[in-house]
Amino acid sequence: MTSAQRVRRAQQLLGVGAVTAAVAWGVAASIGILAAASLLNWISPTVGVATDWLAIVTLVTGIAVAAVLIWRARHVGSFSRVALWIEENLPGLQYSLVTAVESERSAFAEGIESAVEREDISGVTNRAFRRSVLPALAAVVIAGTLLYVLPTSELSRGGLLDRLTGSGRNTAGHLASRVEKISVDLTPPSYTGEKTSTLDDPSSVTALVGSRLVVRGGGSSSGVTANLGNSGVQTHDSNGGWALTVAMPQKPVALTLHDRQFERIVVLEPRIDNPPKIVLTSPVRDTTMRVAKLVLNLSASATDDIGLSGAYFEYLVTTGSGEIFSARTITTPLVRFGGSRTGSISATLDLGSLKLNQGDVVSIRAIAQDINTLSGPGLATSDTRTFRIARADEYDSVAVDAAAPPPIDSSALSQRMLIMMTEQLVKDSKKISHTDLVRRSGEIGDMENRVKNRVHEILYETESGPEGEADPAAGLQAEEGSDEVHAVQNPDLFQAYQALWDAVRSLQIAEPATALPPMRVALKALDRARLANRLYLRGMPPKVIVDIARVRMAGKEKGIASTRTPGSAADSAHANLERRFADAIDLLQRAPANAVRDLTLLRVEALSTSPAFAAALSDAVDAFRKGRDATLPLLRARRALSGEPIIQPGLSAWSGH
Amino acid sequence: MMLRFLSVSIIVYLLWQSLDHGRVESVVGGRTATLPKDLREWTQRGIAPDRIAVQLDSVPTPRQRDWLAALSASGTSVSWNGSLPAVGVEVQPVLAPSGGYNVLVSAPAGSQVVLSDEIGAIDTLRAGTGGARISVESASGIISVKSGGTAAQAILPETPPIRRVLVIGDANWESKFVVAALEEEDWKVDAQTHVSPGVSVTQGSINPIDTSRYSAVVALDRSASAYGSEIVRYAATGGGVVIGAEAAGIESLSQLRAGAAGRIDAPSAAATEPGSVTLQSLSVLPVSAIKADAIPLDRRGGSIAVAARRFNAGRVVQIGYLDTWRWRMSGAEGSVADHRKWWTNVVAGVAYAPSADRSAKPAVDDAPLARLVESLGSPSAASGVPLTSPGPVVPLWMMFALLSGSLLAEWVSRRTRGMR
Amino acid sequence: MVGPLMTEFIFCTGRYESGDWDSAPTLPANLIDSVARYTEIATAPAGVIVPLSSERILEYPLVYLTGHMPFRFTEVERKNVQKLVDRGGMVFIDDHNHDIDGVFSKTALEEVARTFGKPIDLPNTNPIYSCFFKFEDGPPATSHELNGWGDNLVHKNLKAVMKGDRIQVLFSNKDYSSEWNYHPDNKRFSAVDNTRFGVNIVVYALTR
Repeated sequence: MTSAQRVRRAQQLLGVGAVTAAVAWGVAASIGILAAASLLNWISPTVGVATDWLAIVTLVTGIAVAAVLIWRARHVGSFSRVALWIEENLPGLQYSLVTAVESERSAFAEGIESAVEREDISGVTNRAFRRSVLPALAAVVIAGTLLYVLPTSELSRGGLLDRLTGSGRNTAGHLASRVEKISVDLTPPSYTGEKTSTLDDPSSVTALVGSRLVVRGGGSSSGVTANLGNSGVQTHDSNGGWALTVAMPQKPVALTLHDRQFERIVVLEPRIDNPPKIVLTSPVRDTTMRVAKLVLNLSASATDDIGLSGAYFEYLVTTGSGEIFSARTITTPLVRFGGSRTGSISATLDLGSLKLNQGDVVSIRAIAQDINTLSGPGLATSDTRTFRIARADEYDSVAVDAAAPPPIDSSALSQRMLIMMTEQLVKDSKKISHTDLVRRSGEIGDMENRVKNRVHEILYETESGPEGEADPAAGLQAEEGSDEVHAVQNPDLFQAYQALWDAVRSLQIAEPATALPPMRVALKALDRARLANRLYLRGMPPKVIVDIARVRMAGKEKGIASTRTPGSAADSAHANLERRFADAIDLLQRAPANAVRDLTLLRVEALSTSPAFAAALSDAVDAFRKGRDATLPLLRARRALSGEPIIQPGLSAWSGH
Repeated sequence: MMLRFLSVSIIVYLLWQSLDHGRVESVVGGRTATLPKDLREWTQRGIAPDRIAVQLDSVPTPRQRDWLAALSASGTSVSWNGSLPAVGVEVQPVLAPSGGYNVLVSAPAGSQVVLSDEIGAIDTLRAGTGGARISVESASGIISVKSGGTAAQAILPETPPIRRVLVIGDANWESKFVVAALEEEDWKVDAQTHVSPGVSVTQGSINPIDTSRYSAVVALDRSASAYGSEIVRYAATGGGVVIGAEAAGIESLSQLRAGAAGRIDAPSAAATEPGSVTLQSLSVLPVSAIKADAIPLDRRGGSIAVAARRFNAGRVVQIGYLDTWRWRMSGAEGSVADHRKWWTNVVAGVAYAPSADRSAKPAVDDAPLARLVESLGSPSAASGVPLTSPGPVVPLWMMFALLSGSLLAEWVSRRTRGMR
Repeated sequence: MVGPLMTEFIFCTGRYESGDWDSAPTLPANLIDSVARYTEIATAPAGVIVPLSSERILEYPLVYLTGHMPFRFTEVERKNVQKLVDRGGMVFIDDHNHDIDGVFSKTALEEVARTFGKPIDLPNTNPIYSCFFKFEDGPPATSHELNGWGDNLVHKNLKAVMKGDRIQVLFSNKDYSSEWNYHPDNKRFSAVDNTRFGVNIVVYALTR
């Protein structure tokens, strides 16, 4: 190995040492700053060091230290400076190395080389390398250890001191926000039978009222506070982090989490367990009977959003007359559905077994209950069907007529179909032969006639059927009731009947276009009749006409003036939302963080009164949090809140101002 | 010697330039896209061009417009041409407690207009004759209207204080639901409801009826006749009056009303089906023999259902619709809100507001084209001016620097002469 | 005052499916007579009977309901009456049994609670007792209370479902349906008109 090679080797080693030491010192400086900040937070959590700034300062300092050290060691790049440095450290060389390097081809080169060889250049270089690198590495280790020991959650999950002492105070300081990354374990109420699920980093949580929510975050619980609306919530340490537990309240509320200057709002959106629904599918109508001899098949079907517990029928038997009435309630045994979302029940009721007398009324309804054991059970009742035993003295009255709603759905449906067929025939009439027109029109006319006959049956239905033992004389009396009387009872059906007459006549003489208007009138009337409910007729009340002109101001007593108290605004909540939304928008430019906070809290309020607005706000807040453009959700929010603008093309001469 | 010669030459050149003798007229042209750069260039060149012709495809910003006006004022002939839609915007506050704004946009008929505010686009619309009127419940910052190359802006105005409303009527469903509708819209209502001779149900104290207390007075029926002269006086001083169909027959209100009460126009039976009643299906006592200065606001068939007019400083609207409560009670879903909104709009349309200071020039461009014409005159016909810059001209600052340099150099030369 | 244009006040009796809605057939005429007798309110000379299942009920912002027997709304009835009240109408329900333990009272209160919310005892200082005639002690007693009929109680309060300070549903166990159920011409035999509270109900409904 020549002298030049020795120097180059030394230069390489020194260079590596210089760079390594510089980088190590830079890293040590950075870690040292982190440790110092951590120590500062530990001593005084209220001081708070902003994470963003700290990162910048740490990085800049590290780079600066490394840069300075590299600059100071820049001479290692010079070959001759390295050779001189070796000469300086090995006086025994007596400039033989420098000479050897500068005059490689000299006649004395061999002697000089042998002189250089005698000295331990690599030993000097290695020592220098160690002297520069080892302290730097030691500094890195010390700074790292310090940082590890101090409570810096990002590196040590709570800090060694925390683990050693278990002291909350010791772990109060965290460089990063402990409420930034959270998860929520959501456990629905036990009656739902649903399992626990975990939501990662949610900005809102939707769950059934009463659900158990465990909010978890990293780091110690010390210094992490939480508020559910205005009440405080206790946080505790759990699984190496902090946690808090709340139950989903009845109304939307903001869960606000604080860690020093950091704040995080999670909106809790309760979902209400709706009460069940139950429909009495049989019997479908009320009935007035002469004799209480009828076996009723009862059936009902129930549904619930979570689960049904069971259902039963209730019979309310009312007895009495004049001013004295009494009632008794009978219920069937509860049919259990075991948490199913749908269920149906059926029963048989022998009215004869109820020992009913004249004038008695049996009101039947179905009742369902859900499995909600927390705030329920939710109850639902069906429509009531009434079975009444007529009094003998009512037999000559039209009231004895079964006043049940006519089962005319099928008629209405058929009528709709016949109208469509007739419309098609009118369209086709120019293309088809007259014979075909007559044939098709006649066919529709026959069908229309059947509908007309069905309506007639319903309109003039006499008391027969289930109650079979009707008094023939009374039945006859009812049958003999005039059209006019029936029309009073069910004018819609009567109108339908008359219109159907006209329609049938036109169709049968092959004039489908003429038939259409009365057909439509009939359909409308049938629809109305279908929707109309049963009359309870005990005879039409007497119509007394007051002679207003005669009695006007004829009273002897005089009234007094009074004052009215002002009414309140219909939607003050809406106005409040609009005002707060406008304020938040104004704030967006000046203090975006506060504006987003206000929008989040606004969303809590809007959830129950303006769900569409709340949903759009949710998107806007998410967009802000994730640094996306929030223009569209904000525009949607405003649309949802304030509605669409009203546009009137043209400018009027009257602007109102 | 050389330096002295240079200095003198520059001075002579500048002197010659300033005398402007024999200079060829400089004509420059520009386009909207390059206008910021062009303006800078034309201004910095030392001697402003004699003529500037600008081809515009959008209205220049106020700054550019003022810049051009300044050049024009300093002797440069500035002309412009381009097909720019005349767009203007005015925002009026709705004089109702619920607030909101009426945005009046003037734009060429049929043009597409985009309305936006600080948050973003509010809506897009097609202008009718004269423009369009847009009612918005809320808006933020500055309202901007853009059509073609013209964008007009308006600042949201402050809403003046809203005072109480007085409703006078008989004890019937109409008066009950008119009061309810207004209160539900957050109006503070005083009411006088006549029940029997000498017996009324009152809310608030009615007298005096003046603009310091009331934004508007609603006279629903003949029970308002007792207050006729006060209502007329109130309207004359700037108050807003709503005359209900039945009150139109009150003699003492005849000078206020927009016209006489015509013959009742009852709706068809189908239109009054429960659940389908609308404003248009109500019975109407049309405004007939309408006064010359009255403006019909709403028609039903051939007759006028609502008309308005000014009366001295005040405003009056006469309503022909009868029993508007039926709309509220028997209308479709949302009819309650529609009924109260309609009533609040009727009252807001006449409501008294202290006059705003309109002398202050808005800080934004509410009619940019008009202001462009005001500043630079009407557009010229295409002039055929070459839209190129003239030959290079040595900028004034460069000449000045050269002159300073040569003088300084000469001075240094003199001072150092003896040191050699 | 009684204008030819504005629609008159029409007394409306609601017809419901489940019971004897028509148990006080002359009450409407009697109250119409009283309203005309003491006020200038434009009033139709006869009342109307409108099924609660019909949307026509919305044309009558004051609806009177009574009966002795089970009172239950069908879904359509419930929807319509809810709409009526939501839009500003008022429902007056009177227990013709005068019996808080009676089937009408029990079922009607259950239906009211289910449909409109739980009724409260209406304070006897409510404006309904002073909006035209003054009733210092609240709801006037009826002969049916005083003669031991029904539940043998003199009810101190009526019940009401309120929206703010406005009555939406007025519920009475007083049995005004019996008390006022006579031909108006027979008023001349009474020293004091016992229907005056009925006038208050109408004036209240029309002005609040």
